[in-house]
Amino acid sequence: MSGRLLRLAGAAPRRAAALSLSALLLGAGVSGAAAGDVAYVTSQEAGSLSFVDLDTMTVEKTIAVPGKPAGIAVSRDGTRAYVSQPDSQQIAIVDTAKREVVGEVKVGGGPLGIAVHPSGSPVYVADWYSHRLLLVDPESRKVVGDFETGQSPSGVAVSADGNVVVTADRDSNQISFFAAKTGEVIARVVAGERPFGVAFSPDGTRVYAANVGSDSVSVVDARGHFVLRTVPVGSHPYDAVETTGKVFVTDQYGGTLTVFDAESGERIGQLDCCDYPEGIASGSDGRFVYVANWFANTLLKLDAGSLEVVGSVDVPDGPRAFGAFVRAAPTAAAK
Amino acid sequence: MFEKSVFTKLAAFAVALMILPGIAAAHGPTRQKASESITIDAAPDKVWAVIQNFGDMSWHPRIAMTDATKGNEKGSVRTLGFTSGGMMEEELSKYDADKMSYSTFIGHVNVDLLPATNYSSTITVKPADGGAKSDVTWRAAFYRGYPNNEPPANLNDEASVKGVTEFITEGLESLKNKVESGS
Repeated sequence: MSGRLLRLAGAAPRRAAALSLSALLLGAGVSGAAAGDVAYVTSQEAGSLSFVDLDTMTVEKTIAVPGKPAGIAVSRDGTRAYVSQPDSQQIAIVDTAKREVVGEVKVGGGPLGIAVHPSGSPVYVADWYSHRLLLVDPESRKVVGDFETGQSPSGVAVSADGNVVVTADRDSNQISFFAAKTGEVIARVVAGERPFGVAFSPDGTRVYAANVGSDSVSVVDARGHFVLRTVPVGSHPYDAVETTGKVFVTDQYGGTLTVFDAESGERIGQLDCCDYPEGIASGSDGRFVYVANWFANTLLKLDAGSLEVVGSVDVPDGPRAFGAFVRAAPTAAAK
Repeated sequence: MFEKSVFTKLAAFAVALMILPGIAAAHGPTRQKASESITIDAAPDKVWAVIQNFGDMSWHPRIAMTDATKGNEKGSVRTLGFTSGGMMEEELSKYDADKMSYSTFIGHVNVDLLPATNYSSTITVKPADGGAKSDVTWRAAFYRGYPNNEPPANLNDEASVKGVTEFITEGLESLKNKVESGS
C-alpha cells in the first residue's frame, strides 16, 4: 500500500521539497530565536506522531506510536502531549522536550477524543465504547474517575478557565457540558446529527460542534447552553476552530474548508484546498490555521486573514490530528 | 475512523458489546485509501469527453449499464449495473467541468461487487507533456467491507484496498485503451 501512496502523492513532494529547502536556508539565520509553535500530528495508518515546526513547516521528528493513534492533546505549558491509541486501548504520554513516549496508560474501551485540563491534570479521554469521559492522572498514570456522557463520545474540549468540559456525544446527537471539578452535568444540548469534533471559541462564550451526519456546525452558547444557530458547511465536517473572528471547518468528503463569521454565522468562503481534511487548529497568535490533510498526507498552513494556503509539509500516512494539536514549543525545548 | 458508521453498524456494535462486554476490544475499522494514475496518449479534452457524462460509465469493463437521475447535476444518482450481475447506486457529490474532475459517493456498497463500505471517489483529468497527453487520477477513500471487529479475510482492510485498487486499475486501463484506440 505504501508504494501506491507514495505514487499518489507525486505532485506534493516537489512543493514540499522547495519549502523545506527554503526552510533550511531560513533556519540557518534564525537558530536561537524564540521558540515558535509546534504541531503534534497523529498519523493513524503510519502509527506515528510527528513534531512539526510551524515557522519553517518542517517535520523535525517522527516517533512510533502504535495502536492507530487518533486523538491529541498538549498541556498548556507545552511540555506534555497525550495521544489516544484506540486500537491498543491506551493513551501515550509524550515528553515534548525529549520527544519520546515516557509512559502509557491502559484505559480500555475505545479511547478517541482527548484533552488536558489547563492546570496539567487530569487528562480527559472520551471512551467511544463505555460512553464515559475518563479522567486520567498523568502523574500516577491511572484512571481516577469518569463522567457519564451520551453514546459514543468523540470530541472533548476544556474551557480556557478550566471550569467546564464538553464532549460531543456522537450517537446521542448531543453536546454534554460538565463541571470540570465535580463532573456534575451542567447541560445536555441537542446538536445536529452525529457531532464529532468540538471546540470552544477563544473568548469561551461559544462551543462549535461539527455534525458529520447533517453537514453543519452547531454553534452553542457556552453559558446559556442553547443552540445559537446551525450553520451549513461542506460534506461530512470533522472539526472546527475559531480564530480572528472566523470559524474554519474541515469538510472531509467535500475536500474543503468552510469559513464563516463567528458572530453572524454568515459564510465567508469555502476553500477548495484540501483532501479529506480532518484535524484543525490555530497557532498561538491566531494568524494561521493548520489542517491535517488525511488523504494527501500533508499538514497545510493557511493564512486566516487572506485565506490563502501559505505552506505545506508531508507527514506520515493518514494524518488525523484530532484535537488541539498546536502549542507553543516548551521553553525548555528551545534549541 | 469512527465518524461515519451507519445506524445498522452501530446497532451491530452495540449488540456485540452487550454480548461480549469483556472483549469490547479493538475499536472499529479505520478508513482506507487507494489511488491510481495512468498517462493516456491523448489531449485532456478527448479523455474528458469519454468520462464526462456521469450517467455513462460504459468505459469501465465491469459496468454493463448506467442510468443517472439528474445527469451531471450535483446529487444525481446513477445506477450501475455490473456485468457480473448486481447493482449499486452512486451519487454525484461534486462536478467541475473546468477542472475536469468529479467526485462520487456510495453509501451502501454491495460488498459482493466491491469489498468496501462508505466509498467516496474522485476522478480527475490533467494535462501532461504540455497538453499533448493526459494524466488521469482516480482515488478513493472507504472502509473495509465488514464493519465490526474480526472481519473475515475477504472483507478486511487489506481486501478492501486490494478490491478497490483492482476496480480502479481496470477502469483506468480500459479508459486508456478506449481513448488511444479511438473507439
